Amino acid sequence: MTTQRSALAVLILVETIAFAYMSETVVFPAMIVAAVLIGWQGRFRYQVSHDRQVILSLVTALLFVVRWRVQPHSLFEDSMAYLSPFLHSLGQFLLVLQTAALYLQYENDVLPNTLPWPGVFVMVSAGDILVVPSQRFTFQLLAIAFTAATGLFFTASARAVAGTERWAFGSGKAALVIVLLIAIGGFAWTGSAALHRYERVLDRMVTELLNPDGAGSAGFPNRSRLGNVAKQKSERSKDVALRVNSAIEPGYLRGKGYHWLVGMPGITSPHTTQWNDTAVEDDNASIGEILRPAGKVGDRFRFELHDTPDRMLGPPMEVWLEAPQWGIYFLPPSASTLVTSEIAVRRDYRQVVSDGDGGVVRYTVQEGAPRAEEPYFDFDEPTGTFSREALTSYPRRDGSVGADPAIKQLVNDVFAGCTTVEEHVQAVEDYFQGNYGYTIGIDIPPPWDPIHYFLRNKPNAHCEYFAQGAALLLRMRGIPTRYMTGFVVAEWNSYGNYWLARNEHAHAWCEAWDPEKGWVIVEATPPAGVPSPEEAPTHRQLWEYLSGQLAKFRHLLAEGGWRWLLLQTLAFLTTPAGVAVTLLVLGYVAVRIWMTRKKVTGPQVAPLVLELQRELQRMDARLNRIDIKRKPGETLTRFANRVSAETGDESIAGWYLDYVDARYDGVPEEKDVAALRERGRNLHPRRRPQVQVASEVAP
Amino acid sequence: MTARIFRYFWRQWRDELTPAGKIVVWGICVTGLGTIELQMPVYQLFFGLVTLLSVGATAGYLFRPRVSIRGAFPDRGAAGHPLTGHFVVENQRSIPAYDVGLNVLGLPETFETKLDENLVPRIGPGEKVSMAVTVTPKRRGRYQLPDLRAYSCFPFALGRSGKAAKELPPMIVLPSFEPLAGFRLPIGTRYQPGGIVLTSHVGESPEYIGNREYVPGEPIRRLDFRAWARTGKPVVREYQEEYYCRIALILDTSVPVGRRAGPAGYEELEGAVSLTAAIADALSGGEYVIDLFAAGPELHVFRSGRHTANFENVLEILAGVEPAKGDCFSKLSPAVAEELSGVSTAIVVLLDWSPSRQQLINRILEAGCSLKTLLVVRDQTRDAIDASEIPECTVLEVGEIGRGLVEVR
Repeated sequence: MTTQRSALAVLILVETIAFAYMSETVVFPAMIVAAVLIGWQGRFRYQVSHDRQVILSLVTALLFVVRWRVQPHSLFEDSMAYLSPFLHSLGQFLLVLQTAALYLQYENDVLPNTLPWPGVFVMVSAGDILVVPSQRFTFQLLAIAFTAATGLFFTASARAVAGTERWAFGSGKAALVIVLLIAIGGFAWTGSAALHRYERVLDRMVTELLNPDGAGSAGFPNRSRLGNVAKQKSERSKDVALRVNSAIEPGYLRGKGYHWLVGMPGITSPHTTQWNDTAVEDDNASIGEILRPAGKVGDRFRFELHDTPDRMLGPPMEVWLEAPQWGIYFLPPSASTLVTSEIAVRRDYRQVVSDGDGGVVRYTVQEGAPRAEEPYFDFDEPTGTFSREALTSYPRRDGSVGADPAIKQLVNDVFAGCTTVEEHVQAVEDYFQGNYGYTIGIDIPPPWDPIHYFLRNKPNAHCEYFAQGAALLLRMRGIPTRYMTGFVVAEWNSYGNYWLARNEHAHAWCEAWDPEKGWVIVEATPPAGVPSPEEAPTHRQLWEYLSGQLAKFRHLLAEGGWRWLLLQTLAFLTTPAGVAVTLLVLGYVAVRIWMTRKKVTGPQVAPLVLELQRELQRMDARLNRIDIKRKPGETLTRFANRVSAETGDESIAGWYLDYVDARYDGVPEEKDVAALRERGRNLHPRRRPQVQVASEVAP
Repeated sequence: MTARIFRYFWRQWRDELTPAGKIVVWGICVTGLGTIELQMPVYQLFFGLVTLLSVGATAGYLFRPRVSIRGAFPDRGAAGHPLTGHFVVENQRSIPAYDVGLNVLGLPETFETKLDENLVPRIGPGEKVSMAVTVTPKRRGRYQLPDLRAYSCFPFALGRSGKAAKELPPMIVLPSFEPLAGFRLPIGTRYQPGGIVLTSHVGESPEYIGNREYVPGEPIRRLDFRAWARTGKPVVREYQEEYYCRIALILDTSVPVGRRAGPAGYEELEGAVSLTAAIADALSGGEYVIDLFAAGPELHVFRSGRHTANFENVLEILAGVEPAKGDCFSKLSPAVAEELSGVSTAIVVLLDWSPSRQQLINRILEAGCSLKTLLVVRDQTRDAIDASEIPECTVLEVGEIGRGLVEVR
């Protein structure tokens, strides 16, 4: 047993232990261990040609493919802890392949240097699992053991190739190697632990590197406060907040909705606008009810957002969030179905949010028809949490904005002659857009209530004020309204062919209840403050496309594991670009093979030479029968002389000499070929009979 | 700048990493995908492999050998035949050098060698060891090989550390050939004005055979007056050298424009060169003078035989013959035509057939020389040349020439 084979056996055993531990399987790893131990002893060693090795490998691969399709391995199907049954089968196959090497006879008994390479994939297949801390710890140990075994295998291989099989340690060399292996273990452990611990820090660093302007967003809290959206818009305003793959412009995507308002941070007015005196929600409170999936789409779950699903759905919109920690699903106003990787979401009267700790990065939504029905609020109920009063209340105390006679007069002036909700909406939009300017950053002098100051003094302001002002005026006319925040998605990226919204495209608007149309958007912000269709400079689009693709790749890999990567690669190969790449690679390989084999194509112009060569082969075959074979490098003349000596038949030697004349003395002619053929038929070579020595010495 | 950086990394990849090191690098690339998502522990494997490579590189740097190298390769070899140089390596550091290898890294494509096959496990401080290095040239030519480098694969045979090197002198790789069997040529003799002296330009005297009686009509300058006085009859001195066989060996070096050479060069040209060498070898044993004509970027006209130059010199010339892009016969034909009057036999080794070649062949025949034409093709059954048009032609395949199976009749 050579050192190299021993090192390989150790390597396979480490891989097998990792495989068994991570996949929680026993039988297959036990078989591998037994096979390794038997193969290690070297009693069974077989000479198998390269072609047969290839065929056997393919047959084995086929068996594992069948096994994968028939009985895929999965630990916890629901939680997808084991990401890829395919990788599990691949790992098994590669383990078998490595183990088989212990049973094969190689030239000079030197194993191929490449055997640790499949081992890397075996370890990857073992590690393709969402681990708990104890598994992480064990896998770390096994990864270090694998690394050390790999190093030892390569060392042993170098010695085997150099013909110095013995380790020739001594003079501290063994100690040195051991110290190095310990150092490898230590550094590997430290590096892995550091990466795990500082993942978020590194993540942020990478994000900031990709996006030097900074990253992150102000967010959309449960509690509505004037200034949240302004903060979102102005902090890292050019950062991409979400991307949407859609055939149509997405427009307004609702994030969070509110039917009350808490005053602006920093304003300590006793009259701060607060429409509902009691319903102040905690930022950390759970929202709404849990919604269960109605079905699955691939690996993801489909949710019906309405009790009566829509029959006709619009084109799908795939939304990618840059800041999933918000936990919010930004949805179009008539969203009907939602497809996401979460197994449950939370829904209430104003929003859909994640049921998990963070939130999803990707989801798909489809719109249905606009609905004139409100599942939560009963507008016939005068009082209560979900009554008409909840959506029409406004501050009425003395000194508050709703009690100000000037504001009441303003309401009368703005809505003069309006009877329908549609007319009221149009009137309030016209009023604000015609009398106000747009700016971000409004100074409210204390002790003014911000909305009160906004309505009385008509300062330039941003969308939150217009939305709140419009909502207040409409409520003072008894029209149910709610305050919405989200994004207006109107920018197009030509490289990625997707829509996007930046932080500066965060927006606030008001929605009014129209008994005939349902909730309608009231856009009171002047046009300068409403995100409009535009395109960024080319270089920025390209950069954002590339960084978006990177983020997308990372998420999909995390979601789908290595199986996803493999399937994506296969899928790519079926696209025109993939086919082109495949053809290029195949073409390159073909050229290499062609150059190696020195094949030349061209018209066939010398059939007589072929016929001559066939005649030569026939004559060679006749001589082969009596065990006279042409040696490599033996010319025909020399061979003819040998034939003459071994058979004593000059006619056969003469045939070969005539062949030489026909073949090498000018261009072959038909008559020469015919003559050789004719003569060849009549020749029956026999070995020269052995001389009877006894009779010669007889007296 | 970019090209320099690229070349640097390419050299690092090619020379500094062993095949095992390359496997580890590929492993790092694969497992590096695992660092994108840390929920799966594949990143731990990534760190393991990164550490293996970096610790190995650091240890390799610390224990890099500093050695002196003495010895040399033979100054010439033959294409396809291993060439072994013997060297003495002395460790000049005060610490041992482990797993020391010696070889030429970055060899041209036309050479082969097996790296890391001669590793010496340990060379103590001040210790000397003998090491043999074998390279195999695949193609004839004159080469300046890169420096011979001593390196260490310690500790895990992933990389090669150490910069100790020895500059190598230029090397000539002669064409390889297999001796021709059954070599038969239509050979005659022709009068050589001035004899071998004029032919060779080396001042050799003609060989005296003896005296014979004068025949009326002969030039009187050969009369031997002392012998005439002794015998009383006019006697002349007789020399042998005026009549002998000169053979023109004409090598076609034309290759199609735009065609690229493989690692072993242009197959048919190399086959033709080998065949020419074999013919020269077969002729070198006889009383011939061989005029070699070959034209690449330069015209080669070289005479050998009969004490003028030896066969080795012919091989050296053939080693340096370069392919001519396009038709080489515009250079070759005038040079051949000048010598045809004294040439008995012309052996023309062709790679193709064209009007310019036909013109040369016609000139040879018109000059009354015996002719043998050998057409070298890669595959006789496929190359589109009608050999029946070529006078006295035998078609030979490159593979047959390489295996020594051809016979020239």
